[in-house]
Amino acid sequence: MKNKFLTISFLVIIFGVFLFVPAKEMLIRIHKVNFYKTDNWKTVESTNDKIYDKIMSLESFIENRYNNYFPFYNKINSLYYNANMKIDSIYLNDIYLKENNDQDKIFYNKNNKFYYLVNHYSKDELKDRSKEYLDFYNGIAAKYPDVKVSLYIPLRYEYTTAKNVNKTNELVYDFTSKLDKNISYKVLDSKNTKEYLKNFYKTDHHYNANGAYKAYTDILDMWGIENNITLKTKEIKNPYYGSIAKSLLTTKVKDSLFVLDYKNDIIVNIDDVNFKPLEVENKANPFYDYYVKYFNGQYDEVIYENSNEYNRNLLIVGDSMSWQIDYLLASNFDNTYVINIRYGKWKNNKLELEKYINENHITHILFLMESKNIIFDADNYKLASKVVY
Amino acid sequence: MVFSSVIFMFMFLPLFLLCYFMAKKIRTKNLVLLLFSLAFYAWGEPYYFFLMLFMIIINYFLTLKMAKNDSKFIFILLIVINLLSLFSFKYLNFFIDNINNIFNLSINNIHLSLPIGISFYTFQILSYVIDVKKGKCEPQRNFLNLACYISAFPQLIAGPIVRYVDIEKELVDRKTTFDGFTSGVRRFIIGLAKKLIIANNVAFICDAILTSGIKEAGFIGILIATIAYSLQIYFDFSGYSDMAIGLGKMCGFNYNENFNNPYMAYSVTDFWRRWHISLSSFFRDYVYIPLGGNRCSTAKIVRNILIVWTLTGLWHGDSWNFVIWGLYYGIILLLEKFVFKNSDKNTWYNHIKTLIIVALGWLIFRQTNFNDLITSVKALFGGYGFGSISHLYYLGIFSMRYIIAFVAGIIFSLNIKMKDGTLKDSLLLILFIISIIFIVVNSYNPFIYFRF
Repeated sequence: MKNKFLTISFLVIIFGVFLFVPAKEMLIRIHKVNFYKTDNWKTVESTNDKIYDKIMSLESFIENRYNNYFPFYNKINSLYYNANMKIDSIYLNDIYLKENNDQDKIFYNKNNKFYYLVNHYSKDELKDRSKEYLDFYNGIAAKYPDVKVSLYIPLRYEYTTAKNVNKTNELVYDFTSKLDKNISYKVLDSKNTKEYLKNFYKTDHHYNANGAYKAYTDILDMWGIENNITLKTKEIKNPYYGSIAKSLLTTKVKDSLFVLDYKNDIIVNIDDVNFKPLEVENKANPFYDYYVKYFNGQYDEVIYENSNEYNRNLLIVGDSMSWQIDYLLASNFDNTYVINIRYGKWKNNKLELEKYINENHITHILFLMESKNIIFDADNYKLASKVVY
Repeated sequence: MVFSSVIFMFMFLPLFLLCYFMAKKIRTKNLVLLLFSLAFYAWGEPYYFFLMLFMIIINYFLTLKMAKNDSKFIFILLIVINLLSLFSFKYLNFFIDNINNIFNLSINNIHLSLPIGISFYTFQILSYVIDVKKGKCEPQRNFLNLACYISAFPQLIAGPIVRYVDIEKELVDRKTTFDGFTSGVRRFIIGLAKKLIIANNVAFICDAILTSGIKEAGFIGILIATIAYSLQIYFDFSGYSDMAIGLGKMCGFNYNENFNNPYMAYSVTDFWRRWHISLSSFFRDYVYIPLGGNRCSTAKIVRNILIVWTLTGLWHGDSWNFVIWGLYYGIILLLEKFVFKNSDKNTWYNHIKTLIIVALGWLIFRQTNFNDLITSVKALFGGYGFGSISHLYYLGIFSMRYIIAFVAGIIFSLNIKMKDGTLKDSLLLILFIISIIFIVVNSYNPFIYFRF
């Protein structure tokens, strides 16, 4: 076998995977094997060219199968990142693991055993971006003095006083100090890691039920509205592996998914069973996105109509951070309009704020998004150019 | 499609090997190679399949006609067609941008994506046409053989630039043996490991530093990034060449070497004898020598060298930094030729000096944005201070896998050789398995030389 084993091993491996993938596809089709999706499937944007679209769909079908059905795909990923954590933890406290889809860097904090994200921008670029958004919010406040313009900024770990990676915490407070005096704002900051972990998940980029409740009460407090709802938390999934763990495909760190136990009877314009079901069944896939499924708010415009009469209407310009509390906030207003600029009609249309305010008698505007987007537009949602005021 | 992807390694390659080795006759093998090569090329950009087919057909018929009538007109026509195709897809927008800037116009850019590997296959076609015209070889009368030469997937998109005369015989008569196949597998795995274990990881170091604040990175950051990029481009490109040569060997082709330990060079002249050999020799044989080469006046030699290096720079991309990079080498080569005549002695001082010149060259090559280039050079010369270690820490570059890749890159840039045998094969098998792990965990790993 001298000089043969390498070639034979090479052929066995490549032909093994080559045959494994169609075999797995077949077994999945005849329901002999459970497959849970762990990675993003490549999608093809359709053009007007039907032949081109068909070819690209076929290519993407094949690539998806070979990438996602790769034997031991989850195990290989988990092994790789766990090995990195083990080796690097010998000499590092904060261990870099990988970039996620937003090009944020995922770090693992060895001492407190949680993941956090770090942006990829230079400080100069962050400053430029924050300046653009400062002008944007101040411009809105100046144009609509009768509308209460507010910002709620939940700081993710890198921007907190506790971590302050590359002194970005200073950028946050420099930004808020320059906001127009008519803008009300609150920052969900953490003075130390313990405080941060009280409000945020260890494996997910969102705030947890405590953080959401703090955000809810902070916002009402900011507006001087008395909180009239009693909220308790309830656990809906344990263990829960959030968005960051899903990127890594590792179960090394786990969370528990707690939610605010509240269901209101406000009428919603969305006619979709998947809209914010506020319940979710257990799935075999440990990385199943329970957060998104439970709070699902991936819609361009959600309108809550309340039967109470407060003589005030709220516009929330939000992202997934607002999903946990928008329906709670809606209990304090006649009508609440939730806009997510990433979806549906906003992809090709601009939000004409003046028209929207006048037509819907908006009295309060709340910008509630991830700190990286509300100040720096780090994911390039282009809010400042999509919202015309 | 890239070699270091799941789809190539575990779908395309096994399917190709199965069909290729089931075919008995060379003609059938060539047909299999052609069909798979066209599919390989069309993957991701289906319509450029027609461009490739058009270039094959036109060069096949016109070269036959040129050889039959010994027609200078057809020869010039073929050169123009091939260069025009390269110009239209690669340089037209660069040309328009410059015209707009010079004359203050606003001509719109043409939205054409770059067909991958166009610079490589255009140069292969040119070498065929010129060699036929010069009588170095006969025109290929079999369409299948010529199509195979131009489109063979192992070297189609990132070289080496294979000259027709070098594989003319193998196109019609080649042997595929188990030993040859094994040698190809070894070479392929070496290339794969170079790309996935070293190039991709040092690429992370370089990209993280250069895209996240050059000023914060300071001197130390840019120094690390420059060394990392020097390692990345070598292991990326030589890795691809190794894979191409390895796949060629599996199929019975013997492509020429494209690298010869370039970072062991003791002068810049020596470096260019060892780096991307197929491109340097192409420009030497088809541009420099026809212009008069060394056998003319000093003024003409200077002109010839500057022309060749401006073209070499432009070949790499449609941006001024590539022209600057080419001229940078042109000037250094002129200095070595006429001023520092003793610079080619094999001393440690000359090695270090050459490495510094080459690394600085790679920084110019890497920064396509002129402002970034100026900032980087300023940072390298201490213009923004020593740099922040904390900033580098949160780029993630101190992770062990990057340190290992960085150190391994430096070690394997030296002339390390190992005899074929069980130990080498065992190590290669381990490298192959590690490479597969990297393929699975990193789905995004483009080759630098694809864009050329």
